[in-house]
Amino acid sequence: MRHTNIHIALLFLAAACLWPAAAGAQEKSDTTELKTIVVQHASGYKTTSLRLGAGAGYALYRDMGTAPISFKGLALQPVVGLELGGMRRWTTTVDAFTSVAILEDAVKPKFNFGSFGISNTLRFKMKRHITSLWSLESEDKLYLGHDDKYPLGHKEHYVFFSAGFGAANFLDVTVNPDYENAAAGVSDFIGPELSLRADLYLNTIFNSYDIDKADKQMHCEIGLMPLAAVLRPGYSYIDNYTAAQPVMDALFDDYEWHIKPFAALYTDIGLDILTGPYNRISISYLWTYRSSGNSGQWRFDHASHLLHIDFIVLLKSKRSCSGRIIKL
Amino acid sequence: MLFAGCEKIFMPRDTEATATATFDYLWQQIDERYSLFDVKNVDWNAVRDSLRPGVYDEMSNDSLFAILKKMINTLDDGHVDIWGNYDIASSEQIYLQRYANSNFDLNIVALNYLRADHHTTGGLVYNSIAGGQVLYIRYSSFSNSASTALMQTVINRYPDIKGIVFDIRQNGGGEIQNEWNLMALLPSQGQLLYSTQMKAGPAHDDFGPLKQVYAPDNGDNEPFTKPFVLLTDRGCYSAASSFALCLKSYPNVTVMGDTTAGGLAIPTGGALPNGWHYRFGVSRTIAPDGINYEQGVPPDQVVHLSPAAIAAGRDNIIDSAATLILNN
Repeated sequence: MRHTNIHIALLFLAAACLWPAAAGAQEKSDTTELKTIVVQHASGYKTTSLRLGAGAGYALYRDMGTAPISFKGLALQPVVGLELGGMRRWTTTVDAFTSVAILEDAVKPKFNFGSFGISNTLRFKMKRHITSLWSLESEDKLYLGHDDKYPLGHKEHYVFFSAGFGAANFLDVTVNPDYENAAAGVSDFIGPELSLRADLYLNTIFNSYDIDKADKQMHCEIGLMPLAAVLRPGYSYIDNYTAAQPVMDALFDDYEWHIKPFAALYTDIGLDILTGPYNRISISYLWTYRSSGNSGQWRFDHASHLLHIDFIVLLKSKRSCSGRIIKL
Repeated sequence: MLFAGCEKIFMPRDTEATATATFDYLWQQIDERYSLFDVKNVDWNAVRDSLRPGVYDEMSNDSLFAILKKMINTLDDGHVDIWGNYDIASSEQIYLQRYANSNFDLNIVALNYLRADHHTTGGLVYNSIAGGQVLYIRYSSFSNSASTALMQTVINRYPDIKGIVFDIRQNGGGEIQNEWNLMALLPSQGQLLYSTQMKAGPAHDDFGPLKQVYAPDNGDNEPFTKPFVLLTDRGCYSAASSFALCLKSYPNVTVMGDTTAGGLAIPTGGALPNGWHYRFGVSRTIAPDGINYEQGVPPDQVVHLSPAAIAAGRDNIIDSAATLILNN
């Protein structure tokens, strides 16, 4: 129930942002006049930004190799990443998420603090704008930079759609001392990822012609891993520590790789608040799910529901083309 | 639907925490993953057929625990256990043979062999016996520290001894690594110690590849080539049994006392649908002579503790070992 409530809260937040915005747009529609727009929205820059943030929420693990029951608990997830964007044709991101969750099993009345899950996600993604909706209502199109698919003119509504591809690695470690030799289990998913994203520029509804005040946008993204190589413990779950000297040499000896289609899925919905030309605060609800599929002890499922607050801070920018002054 | 973040769409539900589901799960896990049916001579289907009718969802936890205990006791395996928050069920047979057939009297050893002026280095407790000609070392658990350096320290203290009596009676096992640490000081000729393989499929005879394990290199250590007598009894289990099996391949070692209790397989662990925990063996160990000594490693020389010796405050097994060394 908790994750549903978070989602509903976010929808209300979005609605709250849109409602006065729509009203404002209605009032301003009669006062539209020609004006000069000084387009120096730093759009002519290639940027490198740092992403720092953290999420909190709940995580679920179920490893059928050790138990047919789920373990759930509080999860904390710091994130660090780099974003290469600005006027680049592609926006490239590299993010590392690591979450730590204290878990309780489904039938115990309280947390077992020796039981926890660690999940690390390393994601490389390149995305590109593919189309826009409701973007141009006048004939005065304003194109900037070298990418004529990036219209930044005056609009009533403004939605960007982007498509992305990349690769990700998910490493999950579950620890439960009660399982003795099977106390630690490792699962790894690695493969390509595809994503679709929509960005709604809320400010254009407030101030149709003042793109310098583009200070709020909503985003909604879905991604999936169409094919994954999945590493899991072998049939007996534990490595044969009697077969190696020192015993640590046996680590992962009995693990197996399998190929799994549609192994991972994520959704990301949230609000970005632009605090500067290329600085922003992103508040988002991030859901991730991955499964090794199949049945029996091979199967591993992990899901997390996290409310994230991330700060995207400009590290450096490089001017690649000039902005223009256009009279409308 | 996806943005609601509902992994329940993709994940099968947890197994219900009922008595019947718990019984069925444990029976099936052992049926498909336990590695020692060939040496236990148990009709596992018959075990289910005899016990399953007594299981019903409304039964008390105590009643269910008693039935599961009966189930695992048919295997007479000290590595097959279940435990909940309030009780532990282990093999009664292993318990009985450990204490009913014990060839060890701690008071006699402590008072007349280790004596009050004994030394303790890590997990090794020792003193000289037989007029200072023999070093007696008591090692009560493989969970106690026994590095190669510690063992070397002990030996270096007694440069003029003619041999070592190494007593692991009533040693219930522990860390496998300590076996290798101790063996690193015995003369390696690269001899085969045993072969081992893991359970790799649901049929009782589905095993992975057989891996040969050889005596560890001495490295920079000076091997102890004088007579070395290992004392064993029915209280030696798991790593202690494995140690006895390995040492039978060393030319200067004599294993003396009683057959060990076995337990050469390494156990995996996990949780049952109702949250109780389990473990059972998932490997098998084959001695160089082709035999699986899972039920116990026999000594080279059988010597039992005699009531007459006990009455005289003597341990005739230690005395026999010392005599063997002195007569060498």
